[in-house]
Amino acid sequence: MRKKHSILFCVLLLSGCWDERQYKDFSVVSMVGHEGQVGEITSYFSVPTIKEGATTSSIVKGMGKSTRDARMDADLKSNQTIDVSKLSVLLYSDESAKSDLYEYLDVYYRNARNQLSTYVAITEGSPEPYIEIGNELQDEAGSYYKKFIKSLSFVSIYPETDLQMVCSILFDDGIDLTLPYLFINKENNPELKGLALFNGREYTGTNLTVQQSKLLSVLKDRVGRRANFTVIYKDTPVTMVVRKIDKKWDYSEMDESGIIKLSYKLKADVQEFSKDHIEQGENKKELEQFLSQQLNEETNKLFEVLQEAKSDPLGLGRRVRAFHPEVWEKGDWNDTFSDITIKPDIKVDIKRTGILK
Amino acid sequence: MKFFISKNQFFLGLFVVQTGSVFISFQTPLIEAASQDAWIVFIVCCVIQFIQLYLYERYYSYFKINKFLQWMYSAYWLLLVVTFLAYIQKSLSVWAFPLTPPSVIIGAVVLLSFYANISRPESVMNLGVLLLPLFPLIFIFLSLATPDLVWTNVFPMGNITLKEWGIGLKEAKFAFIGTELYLFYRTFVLKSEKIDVKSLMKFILTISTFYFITLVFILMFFSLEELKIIPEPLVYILKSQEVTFIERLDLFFIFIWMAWSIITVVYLIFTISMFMKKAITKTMTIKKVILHALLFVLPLIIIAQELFNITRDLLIYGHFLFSMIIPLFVIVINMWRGKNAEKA
Repeated sequence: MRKKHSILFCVLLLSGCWDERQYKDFSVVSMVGHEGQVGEITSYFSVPTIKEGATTSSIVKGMGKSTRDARMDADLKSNQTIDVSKLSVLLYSDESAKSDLYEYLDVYYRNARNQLSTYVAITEGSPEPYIEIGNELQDEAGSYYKKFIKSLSFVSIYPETDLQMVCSILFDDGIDLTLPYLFINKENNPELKGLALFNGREYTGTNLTVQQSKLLSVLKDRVGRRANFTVIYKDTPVTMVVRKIDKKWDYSEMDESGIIKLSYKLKADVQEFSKDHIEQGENKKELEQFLSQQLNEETNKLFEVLQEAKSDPLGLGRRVRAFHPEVWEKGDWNDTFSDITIKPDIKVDIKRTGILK
Repeated sequence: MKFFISKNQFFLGLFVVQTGSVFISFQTPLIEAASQDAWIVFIVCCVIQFIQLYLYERYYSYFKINKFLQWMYSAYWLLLVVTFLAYIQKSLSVWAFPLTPPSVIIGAVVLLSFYANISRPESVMNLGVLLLPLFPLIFIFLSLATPDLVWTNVFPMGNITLKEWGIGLKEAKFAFIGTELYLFYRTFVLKSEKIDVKSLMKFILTISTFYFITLVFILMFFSLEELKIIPEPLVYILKSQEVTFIERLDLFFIFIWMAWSIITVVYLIFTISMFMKKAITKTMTIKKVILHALLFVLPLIIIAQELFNITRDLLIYGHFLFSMIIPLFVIVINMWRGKNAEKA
């Protein structure tokens, strides 16, 4: 009987043999950059190499008709098969992103081995120099850019959006994608320019500034640990940090007049204000009104940019699709979005002023 | 075959057989048919299912079938098991073992089933208990995706046509495949344990809630367009979750599902074996060897000939025939015969 059990157990273990994968057979890349269009794609793979105990990375370039084809071409130039199952970051050139992004991404969703927690970003020009700089800065460009993008969510510029969320947004007509837009500054370091706006699956060519990106995170109610805003009030800089967001979106006038009212109550702390005495007299009320007015103005400007780019990263369309089918069925939501009236109303409520008054 | 099972064993067995292989895949065709209204269609289907079980409970004593029907049911369950095995192989080859030959995977499952089926019937009936700790695990894993859910995805409501309702109900009913086993195993439940409406209600609420949560999670996690390209959305949700204790949550889940499916297969083969006459004798073992040899070969044919979609469609219609139409006829005829006999 014991013999029978042992045989049965061994047979079950056999099923793992065929799918054994050893790291020595693969070159596990942490970062890939793509440029060009479908039919003529160039991919750059950041391949790690171990020399005398230290890890360095080099770039292997591949060209092909598709993302997969380019990887196969790169395989011919590497002593190991390139493996993208542990990819940390994917970079796309701005020109490539102007065509259907999903066409480049499909290959990463199709294989069960690939991880979906990868970050995606857009680069000004070819992604090659970005990977080179990343490799110089931190042995592996992938881990450098992963930390770089993750830190954006910490300061509320870009809510963490991984590969799976990118796919969900690309397939959803009621919301548009935003991706971090990187450029190389004068000091030859990668820097964030803002967020690249998408219309459907294509990059519009329009970017939000860093300040607008932060404001968008607030409007989405997806702020990170810190959401700081600095304005000049009576010739003195005031920095506030948003702690809590209460939002109410009112679509009651959507069907008749095409108006969406967005009301926000932001509970904030003052982090910097050299004139002090906020709690004294009407100071606090006046400051709150000023901050509210500033944010309302900036939000209006933000919506001007979004409507001009016909991009709805806030996902206003989702509720229109759910509760206002007549408006939704008028045509493409992005076109409708650019014509509607959005009335933001932001009220700042100062709750704390730190350990000073 | 002489054995008795408790009420809990009976309902657990039914739960395992019905959820078995389908709980990771029934959602996509249902949502494709009924769009955002899939959850409403599913609730209606659950009500129908409750009525069906209530009628089963009330009239199961009249469900006595002849040799021909026994063979018909055996053939149907054989098709069910073979399709399940083909599906298990198909899913495992995509998610876990892309390079392992199908014959090895199916061989391992069939071997396990054979081992279980030559054991004591009580052992087979208790297999479902192994799955009990796994249910909460599935929901804990799923709950990780809660922040990514989009509640507006389940709206607008009531936009589907009558035809879409029909197709949706058909697909939703597939989630309850194997429900006819109620009629066969009900007679093995201990006479001392009464099954009343409350028990039935508890059972249907448990299984419906289980399915409903997975369905709503999927509806809220994916957009409708995205769902069209994802055949196993539940596994995909887990794949997209990043946890520190395991690299691939989907792989962990797929092994839970595999264990679940194997137990379903064991239950179904055990039921077929019951029709192949009583007690576990030497000749019975030979019959079981032949049956398992068939179970090894037929799924491989389905995979090789790419017949999976055809057998799946056959099963949906087979489910209506074997769980609704035939029981209705058999029960009505036997009741009518019984009344005539009383009169005579």
